Amino acid sequence: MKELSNKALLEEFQRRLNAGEKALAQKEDMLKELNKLNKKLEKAEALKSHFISNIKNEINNPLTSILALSHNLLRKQNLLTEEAKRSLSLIYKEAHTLDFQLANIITAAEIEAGESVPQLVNIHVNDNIQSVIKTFESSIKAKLLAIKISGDDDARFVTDNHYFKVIVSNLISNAIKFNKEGGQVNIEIAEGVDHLTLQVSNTGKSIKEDELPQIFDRFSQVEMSNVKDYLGYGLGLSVTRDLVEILNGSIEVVSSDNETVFKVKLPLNPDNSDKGMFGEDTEFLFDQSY
Amino acid sequence: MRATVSTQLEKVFLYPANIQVAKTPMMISTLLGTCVAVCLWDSKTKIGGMNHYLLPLWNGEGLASPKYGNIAIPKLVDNLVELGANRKNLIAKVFGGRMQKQGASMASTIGQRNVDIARQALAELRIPIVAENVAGPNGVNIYFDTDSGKVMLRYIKGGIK
Repeated sequence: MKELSNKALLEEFQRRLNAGEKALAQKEDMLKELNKLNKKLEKAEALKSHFISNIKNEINNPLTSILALSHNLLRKQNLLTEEAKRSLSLIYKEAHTLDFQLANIITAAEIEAGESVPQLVNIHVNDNIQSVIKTFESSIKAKLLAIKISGDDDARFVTDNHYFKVIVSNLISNAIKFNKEGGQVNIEIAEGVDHLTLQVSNTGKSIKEDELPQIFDRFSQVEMSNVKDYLGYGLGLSVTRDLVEILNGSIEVVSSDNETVFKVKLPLNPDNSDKGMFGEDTEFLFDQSY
Repeated sequence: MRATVSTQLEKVFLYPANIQVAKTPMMISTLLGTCVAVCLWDSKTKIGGMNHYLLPLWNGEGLASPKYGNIAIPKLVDNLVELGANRKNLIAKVFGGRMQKQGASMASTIGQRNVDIARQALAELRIPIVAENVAGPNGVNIYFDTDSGKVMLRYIKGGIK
């Protein structure tokens, strides 16, 4: 073995130290770049959601008019020619689709802007679900699906009505979209001691276990084949999950060979804001002044 | 020290994952467990605001909401600047981040990590933390008076997330 002099050893040591330092410096540079990029991305996200919450009314108002006017006209069936009827139902249906997608985009923007304050009211669960189903009537017919609601018919609970409808719309839209033709959608309502459980199941293709956690991610749609068979952009379920969390609930999904079930649990009264809110003689143990 | 809440102020309860800013005097309150709330105040313009986040970092999945500290803190600053606050005058008070007693799992350190991200983000934004009450054993109720910049705090016993 070659003997190294002290000097050579020192030189070798120095060389390796320098290489190490250089690598470290490069790593730090890369980290800085990544941090910069990250900040830019966060900024872009913020600008995007800000933009959407600002244009909310400009989009919603005309759409509401289209929906209301076409609905009114559709009721005057005897005044319409066959062609007008067909076009009008198409206008109404497409406007509804747009309205549903927009509700998701706008809700997502509100959540991202930190403006998602639930307005709690006492609602009738079944009535709300029925009214949501009504808006999907034509897609249900087109796919020859059977919809069944079971469980507590008269359940009521305190929640945010709009958020609840967005949650239900997404679960139902999902159950329709990923169902097979002639399949079934089962909706089950159960009122527990302190929770309301809502299960929506469909008889579509199963979702693989390792793909299940991803389905709540934004813009991810589990590809079930090489060709993308399903429309949509994967915002619905991530909005659903966030809304459920805002209402202090939980959501889970189970998928087997012939059935995929979404289970949402919502507290019967999610409000905890009055816990210790400004009492008559509120005393503080601690006062942080400048 | 004792203090009582003025009853003339507009009162707003801040929900988790939300942000509230105010240009006119407002009493913003919230309830914190392992969550953290950052109160920012511009003493010149008396514009103030509060966030309430649940987790330290947004990892790019799901919505980029103020549920995450690294989103909620810059967003609060932006919202205040938009109302007319001066970034340079801002001072911060940080609360919450309760420590859980049992074990040392990830969940039990969420409070601490929430506090860490507040210190880190505020340092990056060059906003001084003038007061804090963090990582204690109890949940807290805090009340932020955007007129005086005072934050009052009350300890809560029992379980809050």
